[in-house]
Amino acid sequence: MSKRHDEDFHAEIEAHLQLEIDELVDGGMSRAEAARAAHRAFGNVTRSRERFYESNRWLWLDHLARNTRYALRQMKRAPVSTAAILLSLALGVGLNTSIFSLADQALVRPLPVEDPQTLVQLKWNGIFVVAGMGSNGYGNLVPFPLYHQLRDEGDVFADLFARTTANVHLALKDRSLPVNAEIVTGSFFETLGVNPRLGRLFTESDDVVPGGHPQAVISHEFWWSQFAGRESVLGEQLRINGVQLTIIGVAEKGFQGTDWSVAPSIWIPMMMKEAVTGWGGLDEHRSRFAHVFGRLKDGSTRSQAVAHLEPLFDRYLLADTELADWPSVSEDQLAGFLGSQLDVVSGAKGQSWAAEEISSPLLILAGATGLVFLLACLNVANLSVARVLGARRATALRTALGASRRRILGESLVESTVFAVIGGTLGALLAPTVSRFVLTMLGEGAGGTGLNAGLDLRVLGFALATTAVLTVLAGTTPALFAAATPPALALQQRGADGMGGPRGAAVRKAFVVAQFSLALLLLVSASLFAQTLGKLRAEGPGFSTTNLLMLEISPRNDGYDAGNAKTLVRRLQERLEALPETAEVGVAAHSMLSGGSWNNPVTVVTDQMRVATDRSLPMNAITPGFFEALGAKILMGRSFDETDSVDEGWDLRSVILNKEFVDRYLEGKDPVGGRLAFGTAPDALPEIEVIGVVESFQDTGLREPEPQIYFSLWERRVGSGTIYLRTTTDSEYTMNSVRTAMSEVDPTLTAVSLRTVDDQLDRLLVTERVLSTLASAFAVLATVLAMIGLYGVLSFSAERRRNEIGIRMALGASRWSAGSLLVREAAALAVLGLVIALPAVWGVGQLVENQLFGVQPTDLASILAAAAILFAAVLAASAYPARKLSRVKPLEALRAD
Amino acid sequence: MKPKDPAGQRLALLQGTLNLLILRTLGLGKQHGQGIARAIQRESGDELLVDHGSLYPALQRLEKLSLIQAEWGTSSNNRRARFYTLTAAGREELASETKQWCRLVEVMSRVLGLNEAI
Repeated sequence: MSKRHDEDFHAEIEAHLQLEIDELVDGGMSRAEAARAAHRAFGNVTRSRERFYESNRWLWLDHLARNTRYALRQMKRAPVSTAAILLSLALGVGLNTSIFSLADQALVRPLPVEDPQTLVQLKWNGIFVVAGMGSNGYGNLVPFPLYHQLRDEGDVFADLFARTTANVHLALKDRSLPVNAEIVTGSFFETLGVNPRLGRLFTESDDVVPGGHPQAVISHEFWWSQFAGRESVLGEQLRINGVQLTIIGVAEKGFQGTDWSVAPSIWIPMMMKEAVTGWGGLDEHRSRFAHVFGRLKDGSTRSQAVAHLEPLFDRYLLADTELADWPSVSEDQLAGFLGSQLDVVSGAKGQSWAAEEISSPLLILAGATGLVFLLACLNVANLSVARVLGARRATALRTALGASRRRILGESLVESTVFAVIGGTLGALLAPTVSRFVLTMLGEGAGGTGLNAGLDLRVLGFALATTAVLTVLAGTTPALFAAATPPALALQQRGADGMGGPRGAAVRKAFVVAQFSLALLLLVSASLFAQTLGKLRAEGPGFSTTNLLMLEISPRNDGYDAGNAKTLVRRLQERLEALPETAEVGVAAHSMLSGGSWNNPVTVVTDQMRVATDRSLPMNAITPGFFEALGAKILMGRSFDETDSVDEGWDLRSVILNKEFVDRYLEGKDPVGGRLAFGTAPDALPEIEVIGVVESFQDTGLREPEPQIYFSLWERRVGSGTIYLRTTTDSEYTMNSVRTAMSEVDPTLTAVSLRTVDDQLDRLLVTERVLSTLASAFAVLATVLAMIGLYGVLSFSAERRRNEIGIRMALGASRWSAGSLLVREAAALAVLGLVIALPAVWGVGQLVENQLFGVQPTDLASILAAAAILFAAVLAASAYPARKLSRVKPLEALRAD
Repeated sequence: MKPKDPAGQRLALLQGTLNLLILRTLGLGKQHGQGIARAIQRESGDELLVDHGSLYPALQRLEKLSLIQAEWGTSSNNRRARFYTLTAAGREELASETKQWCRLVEVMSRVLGLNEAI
């Protein structure tokens, strides 16, 4: 049946009246009399029309439109409270969605590959014995021969692949470009179930003969950025580190390898590793560089796999100790090595060092965001209640004039929904901006480039749903009470039931107390993180970073071999020293303050003692001029000079220790003339002469003073290095001269990076800075939100107490005492909030302790400062309501009701 | 016909009986709203007076239930009016409602001990 129009119905009633009049006239009435009688018989025509109107199915839509208009009008009428609610909602939804979306991407989201949940990764649990030289990696790195053995012998895995990464140089027409490469075995793409976008991907047969597969697969993104998505790219040659590779395919869109934080542009077969990076290590048992992933055979569980692997792994370990290159180790180390276990862990998230790096900061931020969210929710609840109660008289009046309870409820339902929708939309719009801000701060160094500002719809949905439900509940519950209040009582403001009465006021005060507790927590955390950053910055690396430049180069990647690379670096150092803008120039094998380092345990013998270090210590290899460039003083012995040099290969003959090493291991005694050996085995033979002691400064990180060992760069092979330049002018201006000088020495040489050391410090402190900035921002927001909440409660309280104040004043109370009444009430709430928060402050301090530096987790100054800020906030929030209350004119107040 | 005070002497319609009366009236043939009201009044010997204000919502309800249908037409004295007719479903409803009503009367009478009197 089609819908009937109102007009049609009206016409029918008109017809009815006419027919009735006709009949009455026929019966002998006058027309006028008949018309009156007909109308009387019909009753209320308008009411009848209304009843028709209301039977209409679309009525709710009409009500909705009308209520929405009404809600918008109401919102305009109380702009402050409207803005406060919308702000709370937008912040709650926006921050939450942003931070949790990022955390999800970094810590939870599986790789975008086929069936990621069945992907597993190998983890070496136990002690790994490294060769005399070599980097000491993490537990989920395994030596490549082990991968081979598992692939060939084990019957545990259906598929298995190994991967590692490398920074390589791609030669372009006029320059070369540093790009990330992932070096993978032939089974990589098939195991992950990745498809080609173009051409084909590696298979087992593309990774058989060492050096025999000059092929590359490029990423979809690289294909677009570098080749503009040309299909003819297949078969083209890429010059990678001086090696020609043929592009055989483009991987599908969205695939970024197994580490989201280092998206590779190019994939290279494992068998090409040596040709491209200069070191293969595929048969090397004493070092490990590969992450091994795979899929278990159908029906097999991870624990079954571990059990199956055990005999095989034990055989491998034992065979390892019988190899010719097995070093001499202590009993403990041997036992630890043989007791190692091969674990099978989930590989769903891939392998990401950045995830480890930023997981704590992200979790802390997520926690802080959660607190802000809670605060915003309390605010919304509080303000919504205040709004409804504020409109109580109007509601009562309307009820008295005949508005139905349903109608009034409907209105507040619509009003809260409008709030939820607008606030939620603002939040959803705000979230990507927050994400982009955080990602920019994280930057390349902490995985910022691997994440995107896209929102996780589940997180957004959760935030929207939670705030919507809350807003609607907070908006309608008091309306329910208000509508139930007999109008006469409500009009007199005597209605003590519902949220307006003492019980309701207590609930709202509890909200405010909770808000102050949360705000205190966030303020204290912000102060702790800000102090951490400040202390780290103030202490610095122990040398002046002003006018200090660093230039990172990798000659090996630009086609140099170990021999001529050394010559190149020498020439470059000389050329840079000759620049008028430079004072001192030195080279280090490893960039300082980059977070990474070269570590080994050592044994030192002096004429008084023989000491083996209790752990691996960071080492670096440097040239003469390095300490001078930093301004580090030689405390004993001498610095390196041109005599500390060999023509070819590794032949470390001299070593310099830092003061921290001497203090910690050698009782502060002069070690010059002593000898040092790698390793801590009893038969380690110390041959490297200790020639000096340098004052301590931070080489790897900033937090702990580390014992540090320096070798001469000229006594080992040179592959890559970082040149440090102390400049006489602002170092930023020197960068161009440095670039020019570099291209004079070799135009094809790539500057992997050229930046100030201050800049490098910023990168090193990125997580501290992110924590400090965001925690401060959250704390400010929390304080503002708490102020808004308090203001809402106080305004309402002031309104309710007008009467009381009027009487007090009439009895002689001063204006001051009237205003201070309110301020005292507010301060009491704040104090209660602070006291309740103290144990939580302690708890949070313990949680974030490992992110702190130079400040106690229960820093009293921070707590006092936070409390002071909150009391200032209390005064600010209560000033206006208190002033209003102190200006109450007794007579008016008493007459008002 | 002496004037009657509607409140005092006419019977108030029981809840739900108006529908049945409308169906019954339309069972006799096509009729417009005013005609239905008049017919009920006449058939009841002036005992039942239909409140015209509630008649139309009732018609609206029945139309929505597809028990009756309506179309605009011309009355005997040449007025435009909306005429209602029973649908097939309406006819069935009339039959079953009538049966229900008879049972109700019978049961009520029995309970009230009026059987003998009737």
